[in-house]
Amino acid sequence: MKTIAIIKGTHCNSCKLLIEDVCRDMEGVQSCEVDLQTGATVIEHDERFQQNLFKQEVEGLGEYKVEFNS
Amino acid sequence: MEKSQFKKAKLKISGMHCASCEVLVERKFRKVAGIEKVHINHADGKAEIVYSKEPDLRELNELVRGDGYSVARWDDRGTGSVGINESKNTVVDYLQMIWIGLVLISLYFILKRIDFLPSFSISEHMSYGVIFLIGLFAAVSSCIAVVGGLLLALAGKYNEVNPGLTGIQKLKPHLYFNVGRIIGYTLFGALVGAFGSVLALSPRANGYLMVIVSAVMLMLGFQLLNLFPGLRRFGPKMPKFISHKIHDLSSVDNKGAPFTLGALTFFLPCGFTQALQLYVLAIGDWKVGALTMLTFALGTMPALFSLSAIASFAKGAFQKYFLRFAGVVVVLLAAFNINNGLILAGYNIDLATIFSTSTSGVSGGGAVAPIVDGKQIVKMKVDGYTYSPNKFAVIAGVPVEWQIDGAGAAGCGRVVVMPTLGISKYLLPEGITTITFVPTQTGTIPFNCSMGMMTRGSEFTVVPNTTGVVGAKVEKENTQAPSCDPSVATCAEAQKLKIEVSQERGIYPRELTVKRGVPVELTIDDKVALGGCMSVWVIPKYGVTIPMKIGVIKSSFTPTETGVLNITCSMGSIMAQINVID
Repeated sequence: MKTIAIIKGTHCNSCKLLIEDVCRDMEGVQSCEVDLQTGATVIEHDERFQQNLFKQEVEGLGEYKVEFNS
Repeated sequence: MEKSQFKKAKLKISGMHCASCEVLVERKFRKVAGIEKVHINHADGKAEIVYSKEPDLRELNELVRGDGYSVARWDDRGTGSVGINESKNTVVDYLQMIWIGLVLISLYFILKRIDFLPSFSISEHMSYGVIFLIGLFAAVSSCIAVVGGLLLALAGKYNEVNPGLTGIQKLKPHLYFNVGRIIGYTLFGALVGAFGSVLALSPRANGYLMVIVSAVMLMLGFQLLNLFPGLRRFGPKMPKFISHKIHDLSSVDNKGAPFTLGALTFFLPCGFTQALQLYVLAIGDWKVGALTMLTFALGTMPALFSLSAIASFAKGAFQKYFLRFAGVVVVLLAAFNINNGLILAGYNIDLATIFSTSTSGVSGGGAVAPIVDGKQIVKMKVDGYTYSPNKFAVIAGVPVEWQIDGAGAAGCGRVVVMPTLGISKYLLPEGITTITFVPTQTGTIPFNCSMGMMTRGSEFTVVPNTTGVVGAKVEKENTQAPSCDPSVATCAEAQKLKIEVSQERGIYPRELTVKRGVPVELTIDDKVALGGCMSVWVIPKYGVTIPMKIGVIKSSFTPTETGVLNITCSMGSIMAQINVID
């Protein structure tokens, strides 16, 4: 499965690395790719992945805002 | 595990620049077995860890290296490094930098020697094709010194802050920079054409601007080379607007900052830009102004953009060398520019002695000039943009006869200016030009060309008169044409010409007509302050020097040949023409 999230507040490469790192650690996630410029994040996952948890985790890092496209 | 077994340690993390880095590294460390607690501060790069089993430094390094960070023991941060190659320079690195520097300096002198740096003269009737060519040329010569240096410094900084971007992403701000540059040039060109000198900066202001820009470049250059890591600590102390600019530029989304920066390069001191600004100023038409500056900016683009492309697409080892190379170039150019700027602002300080000593063949500056008939005879040769020798010692109170061989002088070197004495003199293209003056006060009398481009640190050192030398009386140098002697048959009443220089009309009239063989009295009514090469006008054919200042300036000469006679600025741009007829 593929989910696309829009993350606002990514301003540098470390943000990208950080979010990808957090994302990959989550249950059910196979791969995660953040586009630094648009904030578009493509997450490949299975049914264990929880959008709310992802939002919580990433927003918990600080200055980010997560929205889902669907 | 017992609590007493927990230990604390401090580590130094290099390469962090924001809060996300902090969190990122913290997360990585937390996963290491044995590490219980991590606290990191990105501002000073300090990581405090609490551990039950001492972590292997090399392992930690390996963990974060991929993201562009490196780890060292906190106590080692000043001296040796532990398995880190990015944050500290090794001896090899320093040797490489010195090597690059030497190559560049020698290249500069070779180019200078074989006169590869020609002097363009900007005349009244320039086609846009010629202006484009000037742009092409300017971008690979003196202009690259300022604009290119700035671009390189910023590109380096940008790449450093955003590692791992693709080439296209890196190129984006450069695109905005160039677009901004072109639009800015067109706009400001039109404004200068329409409103005149309000927008042109005085030489002194130009000088200060150059020093400020160069100081920023120097700082960025040092950062690129990782020299003086201590400078980083001064980062926050840098004027806010500068650091903001740089920071904004570093952020990928920002289009405004590189755009604005590109547009503002119009005001950066670059000989060619200035000459064209004066050209536009003289013509006084906003359309011509806009088109001229647009064409020029387009001409400079290929070179600047190639530079951007290289900076953006460089990878791996090549990128490392390119950035190092760029760093050395930026530092050298900055030092050179600061020097030029200081001279323009009126300080004759030689910051880069190495630049002058190797060519000017230093004339044992202490030796006092020989005295002949109560005059101190001083000889100097001008070659391209070099004075040799360029330092003289003279005795106070004794007239100096300064014989200058200006046959090889290039560009603005054709005019010698001594700001403190208010003397400026056009050097005859053949033979010796003599300047006579009496040094009254001990100290130094600096001299240079009207644009401060010649050998740095050129000056007379005036020493007290201890040996009781009595100087000859100087007859006032006669710049006026011999007064009309009515007893001579050929004598005629002088022809009076008048030229006005004002904001409203520019140089008016630009064409005059006189009769051959009849003395001409030329009156220039200058109503605006003129800088750069326009501060001195010359009539090369008759060796007439006209120092421009606000007010009425009179000079005279007698035309001996028919044809077109040019009045030019000190760099050879035509200011006005006189048709000599029979």
